[in-house]
Amino acid sequence: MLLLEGVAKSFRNGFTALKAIDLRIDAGERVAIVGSSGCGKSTLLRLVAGLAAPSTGRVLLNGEPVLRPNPAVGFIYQEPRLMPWLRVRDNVGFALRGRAAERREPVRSALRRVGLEEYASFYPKQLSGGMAQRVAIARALAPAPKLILLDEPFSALDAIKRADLQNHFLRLWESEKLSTLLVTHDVEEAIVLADRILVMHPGPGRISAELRVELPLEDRRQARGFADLKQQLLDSLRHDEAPTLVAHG
Amino acid sequence: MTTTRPVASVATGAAPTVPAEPAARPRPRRGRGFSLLRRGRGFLLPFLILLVWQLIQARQVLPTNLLPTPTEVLRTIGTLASSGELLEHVSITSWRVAQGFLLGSVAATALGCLTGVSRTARDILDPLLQSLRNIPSLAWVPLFILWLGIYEPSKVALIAVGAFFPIYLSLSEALLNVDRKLVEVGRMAGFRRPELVHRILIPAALPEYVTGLRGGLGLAWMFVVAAEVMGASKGLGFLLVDGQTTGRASLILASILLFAVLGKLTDAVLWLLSHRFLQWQDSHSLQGGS
Repeated sequence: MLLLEGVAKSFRNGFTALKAIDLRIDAGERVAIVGSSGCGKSTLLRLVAGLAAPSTGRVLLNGEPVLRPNPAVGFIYQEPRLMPWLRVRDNVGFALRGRAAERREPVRSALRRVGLEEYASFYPKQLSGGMAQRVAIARALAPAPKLILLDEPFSALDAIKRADLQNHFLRLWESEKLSTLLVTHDVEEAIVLADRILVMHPGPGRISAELRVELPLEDRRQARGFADLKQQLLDSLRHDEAPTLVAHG
Repeated sequence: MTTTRPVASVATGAAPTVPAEPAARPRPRRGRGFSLLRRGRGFLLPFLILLVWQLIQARQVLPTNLLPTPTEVLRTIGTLASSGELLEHVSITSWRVAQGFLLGSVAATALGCLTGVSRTARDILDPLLQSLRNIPSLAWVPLFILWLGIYEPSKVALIAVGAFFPIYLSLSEALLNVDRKLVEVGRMAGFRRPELVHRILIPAALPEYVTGLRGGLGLAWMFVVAAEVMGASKGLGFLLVDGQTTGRASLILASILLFAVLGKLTDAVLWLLSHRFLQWQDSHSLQGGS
């Protein structure tokens, strides 16, 4: 579904953010990229989103080069980024085309999936942080994307809300067979939300290790093998190069 | 207490649930009587000032030909009203303000949009407009009289200049300062520039634009005084000059009072018209904090 071939990104000031990135994500696969701040994770996500162009290499989505944002790709940001002047239903339908009547059902469906149908007429200022983030997720789901990009989507929430939402959306994405590409510096979040984890190192950003997560979907934090995997992941983050690892539940 | 809200099942999956969180619901509205009382607080201080002024001048602490009592000022307004002169002066001044404000705000909105959205337009236009902004208002008077004559067009042009700059500046800056993260959401939605402007930049800039409009309207009322003082036979500015030349302080104070009332009234109308579009603002004043 998504293919990155020899992707590099340099900026006008000469800074190279990414170098020789090769990545493949198949339909329905959940991939996480972990790395420290400034390692190029978000730049990589912007290239996949079509918000920036690679300096060299290619980004292909379903075989087509990504030149601009694509409706088949949804983006969930670190913060909700809701339009404060729009009610919840209008925020969710923000990216939808067509007449109001045609937009109504996708909006309702997306709100139902995040459990906020009753809040359709609220303004963002009337929502808590967690609810606002769920609205942002509904906005990404409404156009029925095939791939969702997540840039540390739950990092602004407290631990309990974060765990609840991670479990909820993991099941949601699993049931809808959505492909997801998550970038995060939270190794636990990566283990909970992904089937495959790529470790990135800075200077310039490159993928230095890959881990497969073969833990049960339900409550991964409690699964046997979670702690070992977390430790392996932390070790590979500390070391520049790490071997390919596989964790079994 | 935390409750759970069921979420409808999706495709093949069981129904996942997300804990519902308490939303920051708006405060319950208080009664109409309370609201009127709260708004009425604004009249308290002017009333007290008038009362103290009346009490002092009733004892003729200062010469009454220089500072008449408020009742004398009100009597002057009453006399003007009963003769029909007041309506004529108020109408003509208001009409000048309306024309000047409309002209200035339309031009400011067009140019503010242009320089707020287009870097090229900003590079070309903004330095000139910013330097024109610093020219004192009275410096325009001889030029406008020379170009447009002593009658209405020069007065309207001066008022338009006064209204133009706060509106232009607020809109241009507000458009420029729209959160780039919101713009990125629009770009992800596939919006091109016209749609980004229409659906993100303009709504996001609206609060500052309204503030600019209100500032522009206030300046329009100030500039109408300059316009009418520079040569008019009708209008509240003319009454000021008339009061000065005939030594009637009550007439001058009556004009000042009328300017204050009319300025406040038109500002309130503008606020009411715009308030409907700004209910979404997450400001303490809209949540009953003020």
